[in-house]
Amino acid sequence: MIPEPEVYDFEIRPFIRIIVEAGYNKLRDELCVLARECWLAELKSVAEGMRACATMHISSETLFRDLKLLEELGLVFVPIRECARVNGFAHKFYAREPGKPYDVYGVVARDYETGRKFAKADRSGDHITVGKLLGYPECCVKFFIHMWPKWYDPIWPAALNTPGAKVSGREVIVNDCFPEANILLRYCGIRAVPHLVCNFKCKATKEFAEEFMQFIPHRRELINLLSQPITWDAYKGVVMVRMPHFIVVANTMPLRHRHIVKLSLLRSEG
Amino acid sequence: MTILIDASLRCNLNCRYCYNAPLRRANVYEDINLDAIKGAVKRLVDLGWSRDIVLHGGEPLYWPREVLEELLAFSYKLTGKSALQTNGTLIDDEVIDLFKRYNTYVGVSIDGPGELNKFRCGPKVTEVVINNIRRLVEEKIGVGVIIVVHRANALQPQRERLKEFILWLKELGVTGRMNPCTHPDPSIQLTPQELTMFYLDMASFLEGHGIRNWSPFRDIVGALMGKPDVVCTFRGCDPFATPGGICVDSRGEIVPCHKFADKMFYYDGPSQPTRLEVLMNTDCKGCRYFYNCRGGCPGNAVGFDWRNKTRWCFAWKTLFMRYERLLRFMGIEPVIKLPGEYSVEELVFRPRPHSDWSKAVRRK
Repeated sequence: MIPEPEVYDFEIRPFIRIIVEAGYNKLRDELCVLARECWLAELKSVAEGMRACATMHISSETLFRDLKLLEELGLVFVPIRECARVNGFAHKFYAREPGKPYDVYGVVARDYETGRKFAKADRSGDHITVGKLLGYPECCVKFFIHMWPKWYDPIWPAALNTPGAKVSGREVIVNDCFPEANILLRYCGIRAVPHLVCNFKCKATKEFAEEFMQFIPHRRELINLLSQPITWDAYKGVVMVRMPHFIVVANTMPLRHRHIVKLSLLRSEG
Repeated sequence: MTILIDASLRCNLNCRYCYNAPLRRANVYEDINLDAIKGAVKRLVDLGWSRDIVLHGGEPLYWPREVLEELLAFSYKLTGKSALQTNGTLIDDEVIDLFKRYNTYVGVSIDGPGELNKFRCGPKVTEVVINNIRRLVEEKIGVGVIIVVHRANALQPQRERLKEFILWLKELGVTGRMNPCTHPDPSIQLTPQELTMFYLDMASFLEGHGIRNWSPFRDIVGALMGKPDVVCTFRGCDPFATPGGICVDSRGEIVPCHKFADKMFYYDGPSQPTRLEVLMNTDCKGCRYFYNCRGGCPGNAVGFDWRNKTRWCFAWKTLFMRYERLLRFMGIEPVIKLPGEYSVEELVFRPRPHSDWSKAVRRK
């Protein structure tokens, strides 16, 4: 039984900061490359037939570039809604402000029929169909439906849901997680799977990742990064994800109490 | 904003509450790259961020003498002045000459005479420091002191000796700061209530003797008057972007103030609203003085978690109330903005518009 979150009645505006240990300046560029590759893999995995759809935000400022990319990949885009462009990690859609740059959120597919099917399911809140079209593991889709929207950043529930998790108050330690299921760096776009995992030892996620990572050129570097010990520390709307040589600071749920998740990861073969 | 040069964290003392201890124990970053340090400082000065350069550390007088001289000379050439913060134990004729040559302002750390200084050093060494303060004044070198306030000097009867020490400093024309000790050891650190009582007593004492310009009292008044140039505590620092002070380490990397840090991170500047936004919606929500106080130093946050307000909230709020009343009694209207009358952006330090921050920090 996962308890409901105790939260403040405010929200921090979306933001993302990557704080790099002095002397590791190159790391910043490496993280940018990985984040870009992870984003492109979402599109390529659809183009190559691994799954039917992917979601995408197209910015009003990069419209031509983004549409050209989709055309090159042989993909179509079905718009679903307009939303504000945010500088950082958004857990939800914010209303577009007149006169300011905005995003069009929509679905990418190989054909319009599939795209429209997704859009219809998305608008009607049919998460099962949405999850299927995105190719997400069934267990993770079910978990998401169970957690959403109360735990809209569901790292804490996923940790509690992980077999062998050691819980001490509001701190969870999970050993021997799959690096493929480590989505703690998703705030900066770095992850081996595009979905929210149901737990950090999810076998279905690992299988999904093995296929998905074929579209990530630096997959070895990605998995090495995701294999490092990592701590997720959320409190008052701010999450700090601590890695050996950098910290990601981003917005999250405004939890009234500090919640900490520590993952130690299994080293991946290869 | 002050530029602090931490060319080395080495020190000849071993103060029990030193916040640099974790970094020093790790014995990291000890190769001093003078060219890189000077390059970083120059970039910051050229950005127009600050012309206040302080050799910090560690103990600057424990650095190789040629390093000390080169950095004093560099600072002097750049700004026409120089400054350093020292424990005051290593001042000799040669150092005095350097101070004169490079127009150096000397901050001396001392918590009072004799036993009052016991968390820093023994009584004999303390006596050396006191003599050196006297000598600096005699040599007409600008000097101020930092007194860290803790259980060995702020409680009675030691507090009365501290007052005598302050009167002695007054005769020399020396003022300084009384900073709360933030070491978590309860045998060293005061409770918030004890600190509040101490500050209230000292405020009355200083006023009674016509002594001005001691921090934090002058800074509380400054913050209430809306002055931007107050002590770092009230500048709205974020742990990774500290507008109160910016450090240049031994490698010439630009890093934030590293109170309680066990690692040096790149300065994530120029400034960030994250902590301010959190506090104004949680711990400090509705506080009459948040516009002036900004939640205090993140290094002193409750539970050492920067997403909390300072653990000295009770002391600061009491002092803000005291001085607000005093200012009003004197017919001076303080600058107090109530919640809803300002946005978080107003509280964030903004450098000159054309400052290219990324070029300054991210050295190739």
